[in-house]
Amino acid sequence: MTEELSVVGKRLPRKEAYRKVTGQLKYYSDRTLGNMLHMKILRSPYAHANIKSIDTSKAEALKGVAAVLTYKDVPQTPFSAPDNVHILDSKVFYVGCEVAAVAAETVEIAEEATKLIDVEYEVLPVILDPEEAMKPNAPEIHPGTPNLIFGQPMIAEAGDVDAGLATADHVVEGDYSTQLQYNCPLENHGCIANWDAEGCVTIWTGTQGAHSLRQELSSALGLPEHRMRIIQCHMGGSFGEGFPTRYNCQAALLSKKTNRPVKYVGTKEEEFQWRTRHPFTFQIKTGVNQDGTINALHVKSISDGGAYFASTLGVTSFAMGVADTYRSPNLYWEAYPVYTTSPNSGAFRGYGTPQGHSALEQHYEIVAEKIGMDPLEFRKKNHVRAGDIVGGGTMLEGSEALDECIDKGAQAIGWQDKWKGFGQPYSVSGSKRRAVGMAAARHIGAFMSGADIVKITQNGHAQLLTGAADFGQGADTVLSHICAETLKIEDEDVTVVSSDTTATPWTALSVASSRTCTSGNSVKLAAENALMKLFEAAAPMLGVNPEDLDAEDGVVFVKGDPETKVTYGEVVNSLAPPVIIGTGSWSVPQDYSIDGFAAQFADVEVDTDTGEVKVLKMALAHDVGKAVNPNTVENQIEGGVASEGIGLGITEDYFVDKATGKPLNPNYLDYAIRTTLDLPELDVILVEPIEPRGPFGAKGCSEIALVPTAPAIANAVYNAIGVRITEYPISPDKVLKALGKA
Amino acid sequence: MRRFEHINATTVDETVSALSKGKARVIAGGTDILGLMKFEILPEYPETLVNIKTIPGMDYIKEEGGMLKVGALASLRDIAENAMVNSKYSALAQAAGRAASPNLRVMGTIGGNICQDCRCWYYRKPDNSFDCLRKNPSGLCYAQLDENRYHSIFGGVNGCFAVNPSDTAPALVALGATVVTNKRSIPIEEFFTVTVAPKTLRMTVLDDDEIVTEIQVPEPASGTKSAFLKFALRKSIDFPIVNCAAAIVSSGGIVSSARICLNAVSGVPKRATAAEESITGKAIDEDTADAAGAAAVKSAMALPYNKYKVQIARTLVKRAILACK
Repeated sequence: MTEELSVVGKRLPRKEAYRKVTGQLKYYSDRTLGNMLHMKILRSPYAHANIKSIDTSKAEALKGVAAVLTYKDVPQTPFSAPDNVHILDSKVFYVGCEVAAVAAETVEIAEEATKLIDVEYEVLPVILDPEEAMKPNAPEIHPGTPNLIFGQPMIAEAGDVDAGLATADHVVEGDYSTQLQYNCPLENHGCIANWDAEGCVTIWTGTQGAHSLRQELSSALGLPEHRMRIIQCHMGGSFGEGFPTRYNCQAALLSKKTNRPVKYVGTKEEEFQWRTRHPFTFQIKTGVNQDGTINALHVKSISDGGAYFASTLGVTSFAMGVADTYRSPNLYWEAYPVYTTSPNSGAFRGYGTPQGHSALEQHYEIVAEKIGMDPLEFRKKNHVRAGDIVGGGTMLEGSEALDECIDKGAQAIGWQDKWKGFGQPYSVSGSKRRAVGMAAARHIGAFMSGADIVKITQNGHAQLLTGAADFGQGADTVLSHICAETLKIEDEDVTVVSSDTTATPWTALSVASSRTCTSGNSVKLAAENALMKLFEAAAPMLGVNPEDLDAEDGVVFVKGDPETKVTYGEVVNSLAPPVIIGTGSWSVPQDYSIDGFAAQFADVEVDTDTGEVKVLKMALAHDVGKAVNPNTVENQIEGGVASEGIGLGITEDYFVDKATGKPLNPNYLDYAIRTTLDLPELDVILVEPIEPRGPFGAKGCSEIALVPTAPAIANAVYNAIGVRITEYPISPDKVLKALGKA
Repeated sequence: MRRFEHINATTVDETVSALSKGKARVIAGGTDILGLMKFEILPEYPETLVNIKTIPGMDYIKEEGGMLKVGALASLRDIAENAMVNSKYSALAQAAGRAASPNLRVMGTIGGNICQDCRCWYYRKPDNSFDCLRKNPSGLCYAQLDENRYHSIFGGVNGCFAVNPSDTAPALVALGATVVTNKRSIPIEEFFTVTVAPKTLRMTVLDDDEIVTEIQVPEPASGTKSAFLKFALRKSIDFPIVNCAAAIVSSGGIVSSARICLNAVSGVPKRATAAEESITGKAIDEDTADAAGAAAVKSAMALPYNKYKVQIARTLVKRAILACK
């Protein structure tokens, strides 16, 4: 890009940085409304049961209790198909499922009251295994709808996979699985809901998208959208968890019942039960030719959706999308998304793509070994390129720099010296064996749509009103940079109001790494629109036509005559009323795919006497398009790899008692999320091709951070010990078992 | 958390007097007891917490009369950072330095570390949501039935397969420590026990009105080396999957005596006597240490999901011995 940039690409501070480090930033839980009640939820001790009777009289009689909500008090129209569930149901579907909600003067009274609710359950069979759930005689978790969601597998198909397998030089088969993983935000999520006397509801909460949440709540509560206001508060992380329908509705209904605001703060133990990463199993069969071309890919996958429909189809289809990372003329992927009574699965950073890549990136490594091809060469030979059709019909015609990622990552890890061949360590010292391994990934880099408003103040500064939710990832900062760059003012001359359904225009969820590109484009259009209006108003002041004008540093000037000028503030003040409002909206073209790419390299040490896998270093080469704020991009990549990616690879595992479905380690002590003291050296390399449809060449970069991490570690472990471990996480017990020592 | 009375004790006598009134527990660092109360783990909820942090002068670390004396209130961090403990009682300093997390080591005391409750996730499920036999005579050991990857590899004690999770305990066993209470002196190996319902739930032999006041460690004989090793998923915070301490006296390159202790492998710290016998009279090398490691786990009885702990225990014994070379 030849254009000189003064804000985009600079390492500027985050918009909320000073408030964050001084403790001034307000999260929803910091807020208090007058006369506010506190909500606690009674949760099911059973994984699967009917509520035969529920008696709330003792709880209601407790001093300080204002109201109790059960399934009898909620709208009887289901808000989710095909599972037909309500804000509270007369059935429970997992341990921790909501049974009743209490609003009381204090949290303690509310908690005590939940224990006074008498519930008689008819206990039903626990079904944790998706394969068991799909059997014809298995009881239906949601009566009237099969446990295999919609009763049939999802199919992705191209060419003739049987013929492709039959004509390939080699066929390689393998089974893989990924575990139950929890999102692990720092913040305990919740909300404050106020249902006022005019029948309007206001909710302060942390979410990944106020407008989408409003749509969902509107349907669940049966309330028109104009009577609802969702105000996004700053969030202490979300990682997919921030789309909570039920507790918002429960708090809203209790507020309606009591005519008082109701606050709910969940506990970490509760959160562990309502949102996890879908566990997957994969059976993969690949036909490959001796020259390294993939001739056919056949996959059968099963994904455990837990209790609710939620994101299960979306996550499953994203997992299927990883097939497109490498070209194969013949494809057949049959996917079985299933209801079980496990802890509820839902959206989690990567949204199925980490599971798919964790399997395929190990599998293709086996394929490359089978034909004796270097793993880097195999990937370069087969990965998708600009112009290929991906995602069942969209064209990848944007930027793609995976080869450069592979080359730069290899250099940073010392591949030339440390890669000794498949199953070969570069160093052996007693029981400790070191090796390198790598994996690549493709993940969505723009998604859905967004709309924005830019207002120019009488001082010539800008206020950006964006529907894009900042849940800690940095959307406010990135969009502010794009606004400032476009308007040709300083970043500090832009303030941002984001994700408030009344103050900002409709915008899709902040998911799938979408906001940098999608909202970035609409912010840029809104700022350009505002700038055009400034030119139109300035033209008569300067005695020229608008097209004769240019701008710099908050000043409009005549091209070729920079001393004939007027400030933005003077332009605004010349108008009656003094208003300049720019608007913009943008949507990803339906036939166009904008993807991010990455190659990650792991240097590991495996202790063959204890089974410990130590990640010594990771080199992370990411094709991010233009990095709007390199600090924020690097934070996203480091954070994703360091906690979730390495956790998925080797330490995180959420255990559930098989007989009862009760979670065993729903807390940050027993669940081994890695802390800052557990980090390896991380070498982030930003590869910045210009994305032609992105704002200033940018595209999404966040979710892909963790996508190739687990398989890169898995491939390095294989090279260290010569035995493959295909069930994640690669924990000490599995390593020792693979080595025949346990 | 339910309401409770909180008393700041200023003497041991005052503490004991408050404890003897019943339904009372001691709090020092609070890193264990508060979690037990918050999550409703204990079968009998304490009505009173007696704070002993307010007793002056019980956090000393000193050598006196041919032994190391550590006040029960000495913090894990202070022990880990003490130069004298590091040089002469290395296993103890290393164990204190690997316990818990940096923050918790500032809060946690040596007395609390050896008196702490077990971490079994069935036992620790709030509201006795699994009917655990530690709390209820008609309960079961659910760990024995299902997710036992962190449980005992040397059988159950009174039907319970939970393990003692202390990091300092095996170091104190290896160093031959004595626990001093307001009533008596107890050799460290006799200090640990497991009693379950219907008896009062205990991890130690302490009576209800008895508290640890001091830990005494005899000065090691000349030629002694000691070491502590811990295996856990995360170095930053985790309880041990297995840990091991060794104190070995060598003379002329030959082991004259050895004390080796594993923990997190059984309901009480497990002295590896077979390993001690195996290495005694031999020079420490890769082969003799390996043989001792094998001897240490010869009597192990793994559960369905914890066979890997046997291999890790074997390796830690071997490495602890090699570290004492």
